[in-house]
Amino acid sequence: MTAARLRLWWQETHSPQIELCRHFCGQFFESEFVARPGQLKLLFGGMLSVLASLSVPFLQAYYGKYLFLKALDNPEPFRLAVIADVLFLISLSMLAIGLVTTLLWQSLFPDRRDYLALASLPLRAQQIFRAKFTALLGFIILVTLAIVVPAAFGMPWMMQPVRGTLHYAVFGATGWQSIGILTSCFAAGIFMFFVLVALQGILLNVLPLRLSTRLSFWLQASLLILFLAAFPLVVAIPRITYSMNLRPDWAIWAPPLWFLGLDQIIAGSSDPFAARLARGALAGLASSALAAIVAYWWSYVGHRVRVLETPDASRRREPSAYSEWTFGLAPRAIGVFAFVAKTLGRSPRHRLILTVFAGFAVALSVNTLANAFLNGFNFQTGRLSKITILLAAQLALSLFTLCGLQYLYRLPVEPRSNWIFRVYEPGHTPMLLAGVEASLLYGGVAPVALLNLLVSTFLLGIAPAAVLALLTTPPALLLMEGLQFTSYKIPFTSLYLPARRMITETIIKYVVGIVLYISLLSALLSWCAQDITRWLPATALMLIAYIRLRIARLDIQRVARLEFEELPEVMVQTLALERD
Amino acid sequence: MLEVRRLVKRYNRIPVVAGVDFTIQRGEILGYLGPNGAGKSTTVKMLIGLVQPTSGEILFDGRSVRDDWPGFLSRIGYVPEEAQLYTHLSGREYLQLTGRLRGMQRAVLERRIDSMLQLLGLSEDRHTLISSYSKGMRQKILLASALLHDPEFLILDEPFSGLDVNMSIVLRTLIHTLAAQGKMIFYSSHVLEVVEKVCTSVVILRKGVTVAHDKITRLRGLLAQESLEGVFAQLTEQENPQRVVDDILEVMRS
Repeated sequence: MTAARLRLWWQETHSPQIELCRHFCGQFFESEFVARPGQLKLLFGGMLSVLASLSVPFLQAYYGKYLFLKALDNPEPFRLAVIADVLFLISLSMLAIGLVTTLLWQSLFPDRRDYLALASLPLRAQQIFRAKFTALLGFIILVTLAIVVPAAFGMPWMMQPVRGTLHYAVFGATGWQSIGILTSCFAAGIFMFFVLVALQGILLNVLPLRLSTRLSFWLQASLLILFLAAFPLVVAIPRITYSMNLRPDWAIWAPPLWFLGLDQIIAGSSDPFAARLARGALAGLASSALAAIVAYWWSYVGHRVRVLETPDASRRREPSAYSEWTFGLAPRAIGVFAFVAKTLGRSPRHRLILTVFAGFAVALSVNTLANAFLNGFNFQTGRLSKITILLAAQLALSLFTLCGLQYLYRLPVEPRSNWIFRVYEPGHTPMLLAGVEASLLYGGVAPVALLNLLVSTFLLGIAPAAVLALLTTPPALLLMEGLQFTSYKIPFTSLYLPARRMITETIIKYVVGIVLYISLLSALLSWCAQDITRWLPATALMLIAYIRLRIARLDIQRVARLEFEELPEVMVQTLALERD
Repeated sequence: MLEVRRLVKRYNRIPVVAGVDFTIQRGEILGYLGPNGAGKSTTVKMLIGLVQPTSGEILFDGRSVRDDWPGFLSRIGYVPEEAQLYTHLSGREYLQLTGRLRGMQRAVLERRIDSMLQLLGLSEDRHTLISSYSKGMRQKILLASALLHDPEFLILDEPFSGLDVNMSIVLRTLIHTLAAQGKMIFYSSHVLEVVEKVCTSVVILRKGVTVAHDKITRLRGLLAQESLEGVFAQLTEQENPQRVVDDILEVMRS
C-alpha cells in the first residue's frame, strides 16, 4: 500500500473501535498548555532531534570504551562492562517508560470528561475501555520500541569482539545479544507500564473518589520526582562494573536485575542465578499484565458509575485564614497574589510541572551525591565537601523552583478571562506586579529557604545551618529580581506559545545557569562559609546588590505596561503594499 | 454624559467600526443593536479599553477619557457578552478578585459581597467553584461584579443571558431604578423584545455605521412599524427568513 493510499484509508471513517482509538491516541498529543493544535507534536519532534544529536557523542564515547577493553588481554573487564551496560539499558528503558506513564497518569483510565463527551454517542462502555487500553498500550509499545531498538542493535555492534582474538573466542557472535537486549529492555519497559496502570487502577477502585483523586496527584508527583532523581543513579551504572560480579540475595527483589537475568539467558548463559532471575522476570511480567487487565476490568464494572454519581467535588469548605493574609500589601496586589495562590493550588497540571522542576533539582542533588560517593567521599568525615554539596543542593532547589514558577506563570489558565486584569490595569501596573513579586517571594524564595534551613540544621547543627541560609537566600533573591526584570505579566493570563523558542536555546540557557548558579556559586559560597570575615561581607554585598536591583526594577515598572499576549509571529512579510 | 464621536476601528485596514456617534445622558438607557458583525462588540471593547480605537473620541462629562483612563474605568461597571470567568475560583473568590483589582478596601468589599450573593440567591454556592455554576449563576456573578463598586456608567452586553424569569424581572427593574437614580446605561443586545421594554432610545448599527439613533417610539413612527423588530429588519436589510429556512431544509435532505 502506498503512502498516499494509506493516508486516504486513514482519512476514511472506520469502525467505532478504530475511531475511538484514533481519538484517544490524539489526546496524548493534546494539552491545554499549547495555543494551537499540533504544537505539542512540534515540541516532541524538537526534543527527539536534540536526543538524536546527543546520541552521536554518546556512541563515540562507547565505541572508544569498547575499543580499549577489546585491546586488553584479560576478558573479564570486557564481560563486566557488557553486563553493566545492559543493566544500564534495561534500567533506562524502565525509567523512560515509567516517566512517560507517569506523565500520562490522568489518561491511563477513561475519566469523567471521556464519559460525558461520549455519553450521547451510540457506544458501549466496553468499547470505550477497550479502545482506551489499546491506544495506551499501542502508544507505550511504540515509545518503548523507539527507545530500545537503536540500543539493541547499536550496543552489540560496538561490543562485538574482533574476529580471531581471545574475546571472540570467549563471547562469539552478537546476534543473540541483540535479541537478548531487545527482549529484556522491551519486557522491562512494558512491565513498568503494567505496574503503574495496576497501581492507578487499584487506587481508583479501592478508595473513595475524592480521596483517590487527591492521593493520585501526590502519588504521581512522588513517582515523577523518584524517576527524575533515579536518572543520575541509572547513568552511574556503567561506572560500577566492579559490582557486576556480586550476586546479592536481594537481587531477586530488584526488577531491573530480573530482566538482566533474562538477557543473560537469551544470550546463551547457563548460570543458575541468571535463570532464577529470568524466571522472576517472566513471572513479574505476567503478574503485572494480569493486574493491569484486572484493574481495567474492575474499573469497567464500577468506576464509570462512581465518577458520574459522586457528588460534585468542587463544593468547598469555608476558606482558611491563609487567603486573608495581607503581608502589608495593597488590595490590588493582594488580588493578584490570591489569584496566583489559588490557581497554583487548584490546577493539578501546574503543580505537576512545578513538581517536574523540583524533580530536576532533586536529580541534580542526587547526581552530586552519587559523584561524590563514586569518588570515595565519606559523608561523616568530609565536612567541607559536605557544605559544598549542601550549598549546591540548596542553590539547585532555589534555581529550579524559581525558574519553574516563572515558567508556570507563562502557562495560561482560561486566557480569555484575562479581560478583568486588562480592564483594571491602567494606572495600577506597579501594584499588580507587586502581587507577582509577593507570590515569588512567599511561594518560591521563603519555602526553599525554610526547607534548606531545616535540612542543614538536621545535618550540621543550627549555627552552620544559619550561615548557609544567610549565604543562599540572597542569591535566590537576586535570581528572583533577575527573572522579574524581563517579565511584565500577571501569571496565567498571557497566551503562551510553546516551541516558539528553539529547544536547544532553552537547554543551553539552563546548562549555563546550572554551571554559573550552582557549580561556581556553590564553590565560592563554600569558601565564604569557612570564616565570618568572608561570609558576612559576602552576604551584605549580595543584599545590597539585591536592593539596588529591586529599586531599578520598580523604576522601570512605573512606566511599563502589562503584557497579555506574546508578540504575533509574522508568517509572511506583506511589505504593506495594499491600498488603504 | 458619555459622548462617542466618530469612533473608528480598522483591523488590517478593514473598517469594523466606521465612524460611530452617540451620546448617553444621565438617567438614559441606550440600546445598542445590530446584526452579527455590525461592530457592536468592537464598540464595547473600545469603551472599556480592551481595543484601541483607530480614530475618534470618547468623552465623559465633557473630558476625553484618555486624559484620565484609570479614573474613567473606576466609574464603569461591565457585564461582558460571554461569561469569561476564572472557573477555578469560587463565586465569592471571583468577586474578591474584582473588588481588590478595583482597590476596594476589605471591610467594604466583604460586606458588599456577602449581601450581593445573598440577594442574588448565590449565598449557598458562594464557596462552590464557578466551573460547576450554571449559565445563569455565572451571569449573576458577572452582574454582581459589575455592581459591587456602585458605578456611574454601566455597560451591559446581553445581561439577561441565562437568567430565569424571576431574576430577569429583578434585573429589568434594577436597570430602570439605576437609570432613575441618574446612572447611564449602555445596553447591547440581540433580543429586541427586551430592548423595547428596557431602553429609552436605541442606536442601530449596520456594517460598522450608525443607521439610526433615536427614541424607540419615534423610530417606530418614522418607519411606520409596529415593533422595534420591524424597524430593525427594515434598517439592517435582513434577508427573507423563510428563504433561509427553505435552504437549510434542502441541505438536510441532500
